[in-house]
Amino acid sequence: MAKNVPGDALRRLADAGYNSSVSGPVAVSVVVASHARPLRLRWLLVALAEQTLNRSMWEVVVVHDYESATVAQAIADVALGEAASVRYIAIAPGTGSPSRQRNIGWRAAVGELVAFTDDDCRPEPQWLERMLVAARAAPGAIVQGRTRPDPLERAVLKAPHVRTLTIDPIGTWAQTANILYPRPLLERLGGFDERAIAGEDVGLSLRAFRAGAGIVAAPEAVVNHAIESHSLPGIVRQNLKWRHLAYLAKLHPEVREHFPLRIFWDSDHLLTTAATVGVVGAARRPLLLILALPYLRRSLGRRGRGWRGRTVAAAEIPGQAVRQVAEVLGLVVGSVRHRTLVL
Amino acid sequence: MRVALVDHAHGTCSGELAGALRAAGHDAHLLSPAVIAPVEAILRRRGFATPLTSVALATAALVRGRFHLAHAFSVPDALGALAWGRLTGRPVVFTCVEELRRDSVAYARLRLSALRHAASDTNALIAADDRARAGLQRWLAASPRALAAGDAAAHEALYRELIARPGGSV
Repeated sequence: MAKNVPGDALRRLADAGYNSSVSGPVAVSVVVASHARPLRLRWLLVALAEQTLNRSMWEVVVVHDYESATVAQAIADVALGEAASVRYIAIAPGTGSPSRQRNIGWRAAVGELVAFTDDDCRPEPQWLERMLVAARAAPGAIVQGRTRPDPLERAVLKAPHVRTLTIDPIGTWAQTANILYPRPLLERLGGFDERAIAGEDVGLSLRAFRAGAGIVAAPEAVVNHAIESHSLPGIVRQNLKWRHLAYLAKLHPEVREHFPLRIFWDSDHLLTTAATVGVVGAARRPLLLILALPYLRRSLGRRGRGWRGRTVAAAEIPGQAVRQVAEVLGLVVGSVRHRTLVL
Repeated sequence: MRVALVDHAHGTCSGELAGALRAAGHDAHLLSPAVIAPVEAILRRRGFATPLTSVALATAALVRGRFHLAHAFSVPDALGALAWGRLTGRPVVFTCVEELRRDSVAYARLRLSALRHAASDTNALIAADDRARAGLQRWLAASPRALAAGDAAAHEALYRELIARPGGSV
């Protein structure tokens, strides 16, 4: 179902002048859903203006919920050159969701291929060209590029609570930071599930695989993802949405193949749960504290093996523990709501 | 008018303006808040955009000086001046002397939020030159004024306009 198009094959196709000056119908539409990040959206549009793919071959569709004053101030003056078009579709503030906005976007798009990226991303100049090459080499398949924390923002990784993304294709979750779907496939699947509050991108890919679609990797099609630091309350609030992952697991039980013990979203949650049980249970049975050791070991290694790294990691443990326990508790709430256990 | 020009980096722009304002008969003071080097080293290692230790020192110097207006020439200085502005209700001007690029707008912790705070929350935003103006427009969607550093008359007019607004007085 999944295969890699060899990198050298992609390079040969690209070097063969795929990015020629041939103009014609729009080959690929870039769809972006934007909310509460007009400045980051501006930066994305600036990066898209630097794409090497012939301008006549692609378009951009941005679906946002900004007030018109915000649009005028933040994004209206970003030029994408003469040929490439940018269309802005405004929806009423507060009525959007990632799923709904992306569905509006791809349905309004005219390209046979639809590339998704996010408003907090910065595609490399060759991104779209390489996605298109990979798509043409594997007709009908989903194409997943590589996503990495933005090297230009690397120092922010030193914050205790950061949000960024790393995907080495082919990854498990098919995030829309860097993925391409053939439009006919989107039409057949009906697009993203608008009832999903989290994991809608995973849900779409799982439905695609069930329908027989394949996925190929385009590791040279690179998108850089913002690295944003948050306060502890801020990151806890951000992560509340993951409580709805239970809905994804309920609709797509096959996703549990990727869950440790088929219950835990990731190994961090497994260790956090065990540590919590150990700490709470130690009041009656002190030996249960052993359950916290794997969590402690992993936490102390978060910042590297040197004494400085371990000192910083140790100082961050209380905050990390609060964040992770809050995530697990959120998933407990989601599990009750959706009547399926995901922690 | 008693004006503070805050510039921890001792740049030419602030020096030139200070000289021009004094020559025009104004009470212009050039403040260069110190940085605490050992603390800055720790902050840099922790990924912060530095300097940061000058922020509080800038605020303290401004409070002591009883100025009518503060004019900052870097992001940290603008943060210190904005804190002073909140305490006193006095206006703050920010002149951006650096040319913003994509690799400089969000390269470290607190950098982007500080930059946006300095550009959006000061009472007037000035670009020191065309490159600074272009960078502000491209990366922050900002529309700065263009005032030459040596133009004392234009700066005086701006200062008087800001001071005359509610919350400030000459």
